[in-house]
Amino acid sequence: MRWRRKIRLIWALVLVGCTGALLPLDAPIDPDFWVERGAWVVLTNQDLQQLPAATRLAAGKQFAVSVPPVKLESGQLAGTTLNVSVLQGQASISATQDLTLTFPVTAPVTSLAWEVPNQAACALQWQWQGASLEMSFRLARDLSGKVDVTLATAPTLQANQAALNDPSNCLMQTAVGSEGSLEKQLSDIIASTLTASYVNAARSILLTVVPIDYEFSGSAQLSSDASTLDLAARFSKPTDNIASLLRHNGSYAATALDVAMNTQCHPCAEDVPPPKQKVKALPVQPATPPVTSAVLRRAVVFDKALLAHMAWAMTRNGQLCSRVSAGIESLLPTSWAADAAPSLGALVGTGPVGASFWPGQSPTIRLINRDEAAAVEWTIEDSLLEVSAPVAGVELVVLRIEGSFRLTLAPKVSTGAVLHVVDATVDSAVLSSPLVPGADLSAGGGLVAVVQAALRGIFFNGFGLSTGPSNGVVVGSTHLADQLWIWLAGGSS
Amino acid sequence: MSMIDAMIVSRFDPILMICAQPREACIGLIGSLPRFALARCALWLVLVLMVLSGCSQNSKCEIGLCPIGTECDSGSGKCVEITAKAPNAPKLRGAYAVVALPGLSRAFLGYASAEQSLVWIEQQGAKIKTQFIAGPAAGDGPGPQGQVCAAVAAANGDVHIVWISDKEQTLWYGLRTQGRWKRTRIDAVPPKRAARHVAITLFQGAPLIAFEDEINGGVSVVTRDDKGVFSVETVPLPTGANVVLQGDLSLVGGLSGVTLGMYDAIEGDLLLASRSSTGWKTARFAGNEPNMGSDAGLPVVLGRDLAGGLLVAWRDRTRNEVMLARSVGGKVQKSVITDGLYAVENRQISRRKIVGTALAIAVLPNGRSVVAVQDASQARIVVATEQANGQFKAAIMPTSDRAQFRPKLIGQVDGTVLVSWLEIDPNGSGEGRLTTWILTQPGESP
Repeated sequence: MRWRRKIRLIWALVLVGCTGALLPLDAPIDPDFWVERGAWVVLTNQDLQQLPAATRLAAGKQFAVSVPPVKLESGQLAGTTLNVSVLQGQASISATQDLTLTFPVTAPVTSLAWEVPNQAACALQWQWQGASLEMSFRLARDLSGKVDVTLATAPTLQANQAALNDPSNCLMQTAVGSEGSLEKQLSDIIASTLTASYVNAARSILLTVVPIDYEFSGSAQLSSDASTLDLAARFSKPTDNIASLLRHNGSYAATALDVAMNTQCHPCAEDVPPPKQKVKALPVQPATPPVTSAVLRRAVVFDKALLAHMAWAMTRNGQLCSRVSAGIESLLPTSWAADAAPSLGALVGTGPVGASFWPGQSPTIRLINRDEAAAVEWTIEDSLLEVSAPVAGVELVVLRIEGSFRLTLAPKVSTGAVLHVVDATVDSAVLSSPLVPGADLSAGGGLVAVVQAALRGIFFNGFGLSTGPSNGVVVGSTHLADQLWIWLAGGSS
Repeated sequence: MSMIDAMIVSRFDPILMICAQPREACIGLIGSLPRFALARCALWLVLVLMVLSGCSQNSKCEIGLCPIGTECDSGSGKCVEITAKAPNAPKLRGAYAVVALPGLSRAFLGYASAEQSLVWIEQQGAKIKTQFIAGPAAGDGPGPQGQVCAAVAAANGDVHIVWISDKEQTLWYGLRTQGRWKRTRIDAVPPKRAARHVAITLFQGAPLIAFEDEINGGVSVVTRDDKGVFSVETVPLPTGANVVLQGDLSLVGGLSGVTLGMYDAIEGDLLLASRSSTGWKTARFAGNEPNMGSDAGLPVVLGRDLAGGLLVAWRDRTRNEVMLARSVGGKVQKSVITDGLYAVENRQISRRKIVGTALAIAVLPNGRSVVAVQDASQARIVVATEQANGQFKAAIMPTSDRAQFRPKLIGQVDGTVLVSWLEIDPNGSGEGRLTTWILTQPGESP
C-alpha cells in the first residue's frame, strides 16, 4: 500500500523499538500537536546539481533497441536488435527549473541483412559514429509528497555520422535508389525506438531517486498492545516544480516539513500536554558541509521544538519506561556493585546485569557541542533507575537510583540520523537497595559508570531516523541556534 | 561406589516465644540455647520483659482479624501460631529444598555457608532439628559440599536427596529411611560432569535425578534400577537450542512419566522435555518460537494438579508477567498470575516491578494452585492463590526489614500453605536466614 510506504520514514523518525500494527488514522491530528517547519531536508547547492547526476545509475546501461523490418520497394531490411550503450551524461537545471539530461549514446557495429525476393540475402553493417540524447523533465510534488516526473519538452536524439556499410555493393545492384534513404529511415526508426525506451527508463530512475529524499509525508497510527501513536508529516508548502521542491538559499536548498505526533498516555507517564511550539523560520546557513566522496550530501535538520515534541511523545507513549534484562555487565568492571555502592559489594554476585528506567517527566532539551560535533542533552527530572543482578543465584533489583538524569544523545556514523546515548550522569542521586531495606546507601566513585552503562544498555537502539547503511552514513553534525544538523552521505561515488 | 552412613547431629532444643498483637505479631523462635540452667533462666527473664514491654499495648484480638499466618487465641486474646523463624538455624546460601513429611512436619535441605556443609533442617511445630549430611560438619573433612542440592519426599516419608560435592564435583544421592541417612556417590556420572543445577523426583517409586551437564551441554538424567544401579542419559534438545538454567532446575514426576522444564537462550523459549516409556520428547512450549513473541521460561517451575495434570508456571521476560498453564479438557489453558504493575505513591503513574525471577508452585487439597513469585524489585515474596473464579489473588509475605528471596511452597493436607524463603543477611555475602510462614487463609494479604 502506497500510504504505508510513504510513512515508513515518518514513524521510524519517532520511535525505535516500538512494534505494532500500522493503521490509517481515524481522524486528522489536532493542530495543537503539530510542529510547523519542525524538520528540514537540506541539500548543498553543489550536491543539488548532483541530484540529477544520480541518474548516472543509468550510465553504462545497455538498451536493447528492437528494430522492426524496414520494407522498401526493392527489398526489405530484416529486423534486428541493437544494443545501445549510454555513456556518462550531464545534467543541468534550466532557468525554468526543468531538469535537463544529456547523454551520449553509442551503438556497436551491427550486422543487418538486406533481403531481396529470389536472391540471396546481402550483408550490411550499420553504426553510429556519435549520438547524443537530450531529455528535459519537470519534477512536481504535491502536499502529500507525491512526486511526478513529466517530460518538459520532447526529447531529441542528435545522431552524427550514421554509417551504413555495404561491402558487397548489394544496394547498388538493386533498385533501392540510394543507400542514403535507407540510412535515414533506419536512423529515424532507431532514434524513435531508443528515445522512447530511454525516456521511460530515466523517468523511472527519477521517480525512484527523488522521492527517497522527499517521501516524508503521510500519516499513520502505530498501534501495539500497550498504546497507540498517531504520526503525520506534510510539506510546509506545495510545489509545482523542482524550484519549489528545493528552495535555494545561498549555498544550499531545503524543504521544510510540518510534523505531528500524538499518543495515548501510557500508565507510566503523567498526563501532561505537549510543550508549546511556535512557527519556525528557514534554517540559517549551516557551516560548510563535510567533504565526502559521496554522490549526495544531505542533512536532516531537527528543530529543538520538534525534538522536545518527540521527547514528549516518546515519554507519553511509554517508550522511555524501558528495561534491558542483561548485557550491561559487559560494559562494567566485575567490581561494579562495590564501586557504585560499597555496602552492596559482598551481596551482589557475578552474572547478567539488567536495568529499568522510569522517567519522572518528559526530557527537557538542550543542544550542545560535544567532541567537535553536535549532541542533544536530555534532562529527565525525578526519575528512577533500577539495576538488577544475581544475588545468590536469583535476579533481584540491587540498586535503586533516584534523581535527575542527564543523557547525551548523538548520531553515530553507521546508523543514520539516529541519536544514541553516548553519555549519561545523574544529579542529586539518592541511592537505596531492596537488599538493605530502609537504608540510604552512600554512593561510590563508580556510580556514574553504572548509570552510563545502564542507560546506554536500555536505549541501545537509540532514537531517530534509521536511514540504513546505503544512504545514511553520518558524515558530520552541528547545531546552530535551536537546530540540530545531521549530515548524511548517500551512495559513494 | 561408597556408602557412608551420615551422622545425625541433634543440637538444639528450641524455645518458642510468642508476642502477639491484634494486627501485628512478633514471633521469635529461639533455638540453639545452651543447656545451662542459669543462662536459661536469665534468658527467660529477658524474654518475659520483652513480652511485657513489647506487648503492653495489646488489646484483645478478634476472630478473623489476625494477620495471615496467625489466628486469634480466644483464651489469651492474642494472635498466635504463625510464622516460625529459625534465627539460630544455619544460614543457607544458594539452592535449597523443602519437603513435607508426615504429620504436618517439614524439612529443608540446603547449604549452610558457615559450616560449608549440606544441612537437613527438620521442623515440626516449634521444634527444629538440624543434621549435617555432607561436608566438614558431617565429618567429611575440609572442602564445601552441597551448594547445589535438591530433595523429594515419598508418600511413606522416605526422603531422596541429591547434591554435588564442590570439592570433587561429583554427584551424590542420599536416602533417608526411618530417620537414618544413606549416602551414595553416583559413579555413573564422572567428576565435573554435573554442575550448578540438580533436581530429583520420583517415578514409579524410584528416584530420577536431573543435572546440568557440563560436558554434553543441556540436562542429563540419572535413573536407578531395582538393583540400585545408576545409569545416565542426556535429554534431547531441539536443533540449535542452548539451554540456560536459572534458579532451581524444575523436574516433576507423574503417573506416566516425568517432565523437565528448561530455557533455550537462543530462541528465548520455554522447553518441556517429557520422558515416558517410549523415551524423551522435547518441545517448545512458550516463547518466541511458538509464535508468542515473548522471551519465556527463565525461570520455569513445574507441578502436578490433583488429577496428575501438568502445571507449568514461568516468567515472561518480554511482558514482565508470570504465567500459569494447565491442561483443561485436553486443551492448554494459560492465565496471567501477575504483571508486576503498581501505582506510584502520590503520583498518577504506574510502574512495573520485575516479577518471577524465582518461582514455586503447589496445589491445595481443594485443587487450587498456589504460586510463589519473587518480587525482584522489592526483594519480597508474593504468594498468589487461585480463587474460585480461576483468578489469582496475591498476598505479600510479611517482612522483617530484610530482603526475601528463593520462595518455596508446600500445600499441606490441612489446607494451609507453607511458604518458605530466605532472608538476606545484609552484612553477608548472599546467605540467608530460613523463614517460613503458614498461610491459613490463602489469598488474603497479611
